[in-house]
Amino acid sequence: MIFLGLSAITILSAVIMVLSRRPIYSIISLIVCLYGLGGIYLLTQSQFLAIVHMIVYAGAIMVLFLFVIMLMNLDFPESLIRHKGIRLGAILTSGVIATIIISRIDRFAPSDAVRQSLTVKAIGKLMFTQYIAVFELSTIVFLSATIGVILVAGSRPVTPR
Amino acid sequence: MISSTHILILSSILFSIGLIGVIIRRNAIVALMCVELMLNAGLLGIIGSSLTTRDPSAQILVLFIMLIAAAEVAVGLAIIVMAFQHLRDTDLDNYSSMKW
Repeated sequence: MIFLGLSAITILSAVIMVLSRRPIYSIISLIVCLYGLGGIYLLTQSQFLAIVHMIVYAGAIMVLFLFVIMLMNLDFPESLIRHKGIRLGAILTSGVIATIIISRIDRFAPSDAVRQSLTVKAIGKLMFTQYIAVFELSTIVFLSATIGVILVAGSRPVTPR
Repeated sequence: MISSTHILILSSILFSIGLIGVIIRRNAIVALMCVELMLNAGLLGIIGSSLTTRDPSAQILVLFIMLIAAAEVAVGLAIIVMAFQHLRDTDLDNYSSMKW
């Protein structure tokens, strides 16, 4: 029941995000959608992932989107009417893709046969022993992303209009 | 206890909603947000299929993908900001000068 409610909230806010005309409303409904996804992560008993998802995604990344839109005054309303053929094609294409994916899903029975511990302690232990190289590499990725962002967005426009 | 079938169905529905958004929206930031939604649907799919074995490695995989996605969003928004400074527009149809 909780899963049905959460997934209804998630799908509804995703549809609102796609259909709303102003980017601010899209961001707000995407935040709602990501919190719903965090609740679903909690239902699958992956608590650490739910917390990280809520902090990193719904917190940091969405605040980044909001800052860019608000600081650059990018909140132009956009009319959704002018691409009728594209809209029909998009709905057809993604409907076909969704039916293909859903029909290929194996029907798993709900199993709680193997109960490995998914606590924060187990995940941290695994991350800092077996996956320590990946962890260090991700810090390098972050450093290069930071340098790249500063180089791309921090420079003045070459041809000011 | 949720079965992984439900979560996989939810993830494919979210993926197709994000795909519709990427195709029909012309605002660059909203298109990037729809890409984020598709990425989150993929992460939910990983978690859903890890429910049968309950392997904690799946969560670490999802965690690293999330961290990389954060860097990717930062770079994408920087590119959008730079394109907006040059073209004074966020419409993806007017970004066709990036093609060649």
